[in-house]
Amino acid sequence: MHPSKTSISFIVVALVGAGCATSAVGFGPQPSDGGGGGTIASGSSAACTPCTTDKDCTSGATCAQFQGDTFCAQPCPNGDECGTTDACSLETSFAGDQVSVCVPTIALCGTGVGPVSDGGAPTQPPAPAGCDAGPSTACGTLIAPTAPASCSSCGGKNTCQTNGCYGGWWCDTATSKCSAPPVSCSAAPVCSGGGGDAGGGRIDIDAGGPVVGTVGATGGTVSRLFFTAVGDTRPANEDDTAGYPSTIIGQIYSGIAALNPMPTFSISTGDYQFSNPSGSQASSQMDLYLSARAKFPGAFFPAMGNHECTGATASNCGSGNTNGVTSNYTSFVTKLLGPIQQTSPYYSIAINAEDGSWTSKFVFIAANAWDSTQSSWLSSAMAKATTYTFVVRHEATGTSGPPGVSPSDSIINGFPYTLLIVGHTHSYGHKSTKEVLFGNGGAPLTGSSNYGYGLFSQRSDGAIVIDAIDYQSGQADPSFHFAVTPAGVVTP
Amino acid sequence: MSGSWRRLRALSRTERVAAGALVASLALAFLGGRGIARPSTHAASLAVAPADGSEIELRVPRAGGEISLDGDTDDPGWQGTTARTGAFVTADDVAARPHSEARFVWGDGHLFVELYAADEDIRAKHETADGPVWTDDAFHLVFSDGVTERSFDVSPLGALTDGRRAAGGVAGAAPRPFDYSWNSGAHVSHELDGTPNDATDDDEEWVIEMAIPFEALGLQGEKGERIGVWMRRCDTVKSGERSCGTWGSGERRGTFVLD
Repeated sequence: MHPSKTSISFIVVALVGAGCATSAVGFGPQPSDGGGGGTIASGSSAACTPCTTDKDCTSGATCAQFQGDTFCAQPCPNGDECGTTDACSLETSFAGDQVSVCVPTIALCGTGVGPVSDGGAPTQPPAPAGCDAGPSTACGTLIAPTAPASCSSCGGKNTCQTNGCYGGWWCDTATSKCSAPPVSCSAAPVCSGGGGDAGGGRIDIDAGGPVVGTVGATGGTVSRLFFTAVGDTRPANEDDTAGYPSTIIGQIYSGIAALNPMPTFSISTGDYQFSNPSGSQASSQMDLYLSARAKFPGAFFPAMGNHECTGATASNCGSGNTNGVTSNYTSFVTKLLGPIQQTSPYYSIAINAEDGSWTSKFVFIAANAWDSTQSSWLSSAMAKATTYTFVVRHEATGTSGPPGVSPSDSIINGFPYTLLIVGHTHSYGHKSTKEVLFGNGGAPLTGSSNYGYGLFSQRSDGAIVIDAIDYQSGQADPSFHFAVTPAGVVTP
Repeated sequence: MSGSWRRLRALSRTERVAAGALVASLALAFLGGRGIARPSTHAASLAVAPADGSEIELRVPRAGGEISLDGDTDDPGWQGTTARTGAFVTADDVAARPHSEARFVWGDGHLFVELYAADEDIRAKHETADGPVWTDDAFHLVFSDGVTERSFDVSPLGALTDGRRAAGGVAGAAPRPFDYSWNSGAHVSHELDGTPNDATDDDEEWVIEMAIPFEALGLQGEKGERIGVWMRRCDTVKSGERSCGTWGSGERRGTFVLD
């Protein structure tokens, strides 16, 4: 909806206020998707300091399990204590208690395949070929939940697994500490038959083999492209932060994190909020998104949607543009682009083959922050030759209103590209040969499809296979499945 | 959403007639010293709790601040605790698609209603009151106190058809028709994101914001009052298929309790 007012006069209904705010006393809150949210304060960034107990942490930090190991993290009991590169997330403490702590959304702690701040090598070994068909009980020094091992972190409120961990975590026999299920494995694992669950709740969908490499805030190198696209996550009503679809988007990112292999990064097609552009809810809704997004430890590259401007499809934000710098825009730039070191809503990310056999670029267009500078940048970005080019923009080709759609279409059509990935419509679909829609990330669904995300997988022949994954079943929609060549030609 | 975006809004017939009086009376109440409470910091919603095995009891709170009847819901009155239906459901009790939901608060003699409809192809041709708006994409609300049923059909363009009839009926007989000459005095505003009656593009949603006088519902506007409610939203999708989602219908009948 367009938040700005028309010239039509409206009725202001002054309501009796005394005692109104307390009228809910005695009745439990509706099980809504979101919470009240809060604002992020400065400081309290987690430093990824490994720990065994709270004694290993300083400055009031607590030792909690997240992102594959146990790390010191600042508590955030009110939800608003985390810094701009952290998200307040409910995690499990070293002792097995539920704690709210500030979890970094960049420079993720201990993640092998996923963003690292120093560009270092993955900390976990690559996966073996041939193990996709079933779960393994060991991966190097890691022992699966169903096998006996030397860990002893369970007990109390948590049900002990055979390996001495809980919650699907694996036991690292080198340290006798529990860690998240391995992303991939090459250390001669013991493979056994069975279904697609690798013992830690992981889902095997992709049959393309292991993914090795690192994607960080500024790009990276991988053995093959394997990523997801999520789009459009917002409540139905403006400023209805209590109605934010936290559960849905949280389940989407948890599902992505549970894929085996786990995607190395995720992109988003825009719209993370439904906030009055001059109001106060943008920050809270972005925090809720970040909290959900933190469930996936890989890198995250967001596109800007119209709700990151004023909400109007035709709005144009940014300094010097019609709608200027709104609170929605500022929250997007600060909270979602800040972690990937971007200061502009349009940018390009390079992700290339580890062996140099192919290159790719992801070009993020901000059609609701369009100006001549972006136009020039887009021409330059598209001119850089790569094997694959993925253009990510909120609105689809042909959408009237957004100032940047038509001119950016003109530019990108002058260059080869693989796919245009869009959102805006709360559904998913293969809109045209080279355009795919993923806007079913939690915003009210306009069509008959369910919530979920897109999964992009580079095949051994170089084609990109695209699937639409249902967030509840984890299953791909067979009627959607398709593949394209690097040039964007549909191929079997 | 693709296609041109338009924000359309109109006042219903009844709103045009009665707006001035409503502003005056409510402003007087405000100036009388009752003031406006600040909305709660953390918005919340009241439970939709089955009162027994079948009934859904929705406790409707008083609004915590002012509401501008303009189709937007960024007003303080919508930011505090509200009563939520959650997603309307199909006959199989699963979330209906496209998504529909509603919220409610009350205050100063009115029940405030917000109806949300996700819609990829908005179809709405009726713009005048008391027409067959149910042939458009539309919401249908029925309030029943056991004696009288009051119906409110409202389209994406904010056209309202309100009617009244005696509750009940003879088993096996056709239901009595609503008397659409009845005027509830309800005020309606709307907002939509899309291009109505243009299936060549993707629309996004439409929202109805409505204020229904309690006297039209046979209520006094006092805490603890109860009234039966059921709602339906029907939609025609691009393929031409028409489907509906409901709340409070069938065995899971709905009841509002003013809280």
